[in-house]
Amino acid sequence: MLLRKLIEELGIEPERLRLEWISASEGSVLVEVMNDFVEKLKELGPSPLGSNNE
Amino acid sequence: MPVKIALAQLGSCWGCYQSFMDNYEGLLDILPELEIVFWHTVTDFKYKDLESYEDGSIDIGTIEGVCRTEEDLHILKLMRKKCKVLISLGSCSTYGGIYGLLNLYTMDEALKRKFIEAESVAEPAIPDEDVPKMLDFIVPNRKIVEFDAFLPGCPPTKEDIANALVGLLKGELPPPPKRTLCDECPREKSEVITIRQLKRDYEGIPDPDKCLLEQGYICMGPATREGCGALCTSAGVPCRGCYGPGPNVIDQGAKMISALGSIVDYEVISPEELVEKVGDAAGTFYNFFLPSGIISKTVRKAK
Repeated sequence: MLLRKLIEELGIEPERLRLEWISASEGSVLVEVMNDFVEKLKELGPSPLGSNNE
Repeated sequence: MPVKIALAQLGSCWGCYQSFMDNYEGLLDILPELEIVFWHTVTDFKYKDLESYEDGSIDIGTIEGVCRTEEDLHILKLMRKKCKVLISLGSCSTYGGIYGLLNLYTMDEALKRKFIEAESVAEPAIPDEDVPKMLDFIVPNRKIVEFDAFLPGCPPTKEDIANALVGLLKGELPPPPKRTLCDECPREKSEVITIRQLKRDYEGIPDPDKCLLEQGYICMGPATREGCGALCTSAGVPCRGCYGPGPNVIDQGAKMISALGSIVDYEVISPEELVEKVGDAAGTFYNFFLPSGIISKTVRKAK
């Protein structure tokens, strides 16, 4: 939570940081979370860090 | 033969040199050994004097402050050329310092705030005559030139500066830190530190003997290097991290967030409450370190 707040102050969308606990037996949850996160990242577009890192 | 020394000031508050001067009679042991060849805030030397010296002809150089303008940049590069040993004095020069927090804003925003919007401004106008060009962001000095030693602190203690100079006169560089601030802090700490309440530093009066973190004050001790002798925490004030990151720590702010993450009792304090209580995350965890952090400034989406 604190790290999300910090990166928000630094100009990075907090949605780019996500922490989930998934056990080794929860394969389907992992797939779900990863697909969801990739979807979200595609929506957000390229990270501002990459384009502004001179 | 006296040792030639040049003491340069870039964008800064003069606090580090004030700390050096605070040695008072202690200076009597050091000054006779030194020949000051440049100290533009104290002696009547001009930039052209510094420019006229032969390269590498000055034995010791010290840098206080950050490169905020093109003039600062010029002096920093000049000092590196002229000095055999270059010392970074204070947290501004070493990490970017408090000035580094301006990296959260653009220069236009900063100038507007300072010269137009500030409550004390009577005649709002951004100065544009006879001023050097401002640089967009603060970059730590060591990314611009190479240094031989660093003496962080805001300011470095007078003992630190005196010891470093005495050492340098014998040809020894100041030793690197080995421990964190907590190791030299005299407060009593439990075997396992747990935070069950959070307080801002103006709330209540801290117990004089117990660890400030355990009492709920956000103290940067775990992420900060030793060296100051626990000046603030001994006086009941939480550490703000002015001496910079502890040994083997890359990013002071991230380290502190990670430390907090593992000692807060989330059954009593919810993560949301923690965020709310901290308020200003960059200002709390990167008070002196932002330009040296992994993310050194506010990033903005390319337009």
